[in-house]
Amino acid sequence: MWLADDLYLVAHHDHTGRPHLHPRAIQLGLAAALLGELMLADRIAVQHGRIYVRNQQPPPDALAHTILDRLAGQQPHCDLRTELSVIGGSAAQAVAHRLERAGLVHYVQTRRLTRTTGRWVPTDPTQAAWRTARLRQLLSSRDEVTWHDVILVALLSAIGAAGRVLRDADPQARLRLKGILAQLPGSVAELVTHTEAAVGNAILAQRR
Amino acid sequence: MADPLALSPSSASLARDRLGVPSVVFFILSAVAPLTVIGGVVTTAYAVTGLTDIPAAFIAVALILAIFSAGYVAMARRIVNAGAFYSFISRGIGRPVGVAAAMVAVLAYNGLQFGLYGAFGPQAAAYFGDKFGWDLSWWVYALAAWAVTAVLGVLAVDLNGRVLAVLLTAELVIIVVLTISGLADPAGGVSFATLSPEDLFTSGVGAALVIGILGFVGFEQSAVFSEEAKDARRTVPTATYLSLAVIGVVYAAASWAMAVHYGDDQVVATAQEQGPGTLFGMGGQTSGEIAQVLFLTSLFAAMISFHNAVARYMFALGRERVLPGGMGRTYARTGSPIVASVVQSVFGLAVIILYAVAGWDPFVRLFFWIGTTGGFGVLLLLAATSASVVGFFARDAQGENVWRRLIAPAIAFVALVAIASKAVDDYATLLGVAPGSTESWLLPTMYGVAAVIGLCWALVLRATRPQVYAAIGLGANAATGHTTPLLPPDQTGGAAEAGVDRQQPVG
Repeated sequence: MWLADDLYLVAHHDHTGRPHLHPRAIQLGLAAALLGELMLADRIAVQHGRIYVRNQQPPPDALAHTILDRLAGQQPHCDLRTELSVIGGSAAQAVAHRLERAGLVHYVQTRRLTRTTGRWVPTDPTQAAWRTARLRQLLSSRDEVTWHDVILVALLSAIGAAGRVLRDADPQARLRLKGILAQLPGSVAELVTHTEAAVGNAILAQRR
Repeated sequence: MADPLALSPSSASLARDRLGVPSVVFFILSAVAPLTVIGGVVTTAYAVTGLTDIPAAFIAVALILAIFSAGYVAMARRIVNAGAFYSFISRGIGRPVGVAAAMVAVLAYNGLQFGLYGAFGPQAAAYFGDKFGWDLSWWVYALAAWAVTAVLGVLAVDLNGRVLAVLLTAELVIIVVLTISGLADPAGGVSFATLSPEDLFTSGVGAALVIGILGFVGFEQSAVFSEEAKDARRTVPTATYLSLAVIGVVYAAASWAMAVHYGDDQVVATAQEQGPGTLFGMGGQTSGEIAQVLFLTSLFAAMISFHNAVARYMFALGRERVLPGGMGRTYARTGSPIVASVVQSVFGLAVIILYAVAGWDPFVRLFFWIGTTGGFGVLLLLAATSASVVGFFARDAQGENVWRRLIAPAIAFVALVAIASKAVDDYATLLGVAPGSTESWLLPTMYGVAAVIGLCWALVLRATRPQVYAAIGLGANAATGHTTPLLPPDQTGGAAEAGVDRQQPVG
């Protein structure tokens, strides 16, 4: 289970595959999640707005491998915000392809009057909905949270999706989320705050 | 399928959708809304103030703003959240003054937005009454426009760039046509008196110059593009000077043409009688009718763009926690700053209802009074921003020459402060009321109150929430605590999310 896959499924409708969030917020969130995967695998670290490659050993996942190569090529001046924006540009498609290979989504074409459009639809809506339900349950419980889940909920909250996860959850869950957000370790905290700031700037830049 | 994440250098992939000079000029011109200014502000200014030196005021203001811009665009490249004056002021003078400026800005830009309802309502009522015989009050149209603006604001819908480009071009063409036909048919010889700077120093100069500033509001948006321009050192300054020149010439020529067409001694009386019709009547039947429709679309476009600008201003302050954090909330589905947008709409609704119930004249008392008061607020912000440029570069010249970091902003500061103090004296002339009447001191004093509230709030924040205090002026970047763009401007130009979600209307 990859971080960006989880974020993708939470951010899209479990039946229709339509986005729940503004596309740019999803893009930035997915880019951050892909970087988060590399952090979890101890390949990169973030400090003072820059990404440092710690270990260039190829990760097992092809997408993660591509991104790690990309980041390695940018050393030593690899700017986090630039990477969020650039990776964000193609993250939705890249992650959807990965989900497709795992059999979790499939591409459905719809014909409108003049053009054909399409989107990825979850193959099993229950599976897709479970990703959100699991987080809600986790936050409501006292179970231990993994680093995977810490980064996931922090990024979801940074892109404005905390409300979706917390919907109908008891007040304890909100407090627990707050607690998690207050204690993020250095690299993760930077990734999360920069993602939140990038989403905010995208909103400010929408005038055009 | 080609790998979308292939190893292209980041700077190259960001450069693809960067802006050139024509695009930036276009954005600035459409933020300025020239037909709204010439059809609405200029005609009402003639009518209300009785001053005939408006054309000269536009030229004077264009020159002052060109001097102001030298330091302004130089500083804009070096700070985050460059779209907002209070960011400059927080970094250049200090955070308490920055928060005071933020409060002044919220008040001023809200005022500019409210004013537009006061112009659109009566103008639409007159137009539809004339064409279809509908006998509806101005506030019915104002409320309709308000409702559309409120909904589009929440849905984060901006008018399509191409539509705006077509409208702006049409506006400029019709202004040129009316100007030429007005000049071709002078009331009695072509007089240059209204363009003469000598006349400017006689009476009511403060009022005339505030109107001049009001006409240019929107040009300050140029700073926003410093993160997205092709060449931050050249594109934004070139585009800014070019826009100021175009706006200055168009405004001065059109307002001069009105004086020539109706006669220097008659233009005030004509404007009092016909309002915006003063402009439409300078050409033939057809061009007049087209201008009337375009005037409405121009007001409408300005309404939407100002609404979104105000909402984003308050959103940025909410993200900083300078305004309540709720203001920084977004509507997830559309990414609109929903709370700030709704708050702005509620204020707007209250203002329309107030004017409708009180029976106040919307064109003079809402559009002109509140609009010019908004212009006066922007004047105060411009003056403080000039001082902040000097302060910012005094600590570290950062390779800027003495003109850009000291002389130009100092000249601009002195000139703008002089205008502001003269404007306070002339406020009664500006509003067209008797000297000493309540409005003439109440409206400018509101900024003093807002500034004091801002100062106190900044000091409270410093004492109680130092983290929030430290991030003042950073806008959406407040969370990261970075006060400068993350890369030197010469490398890739800074922040990364530039160039996304943009409908590029030109080139």
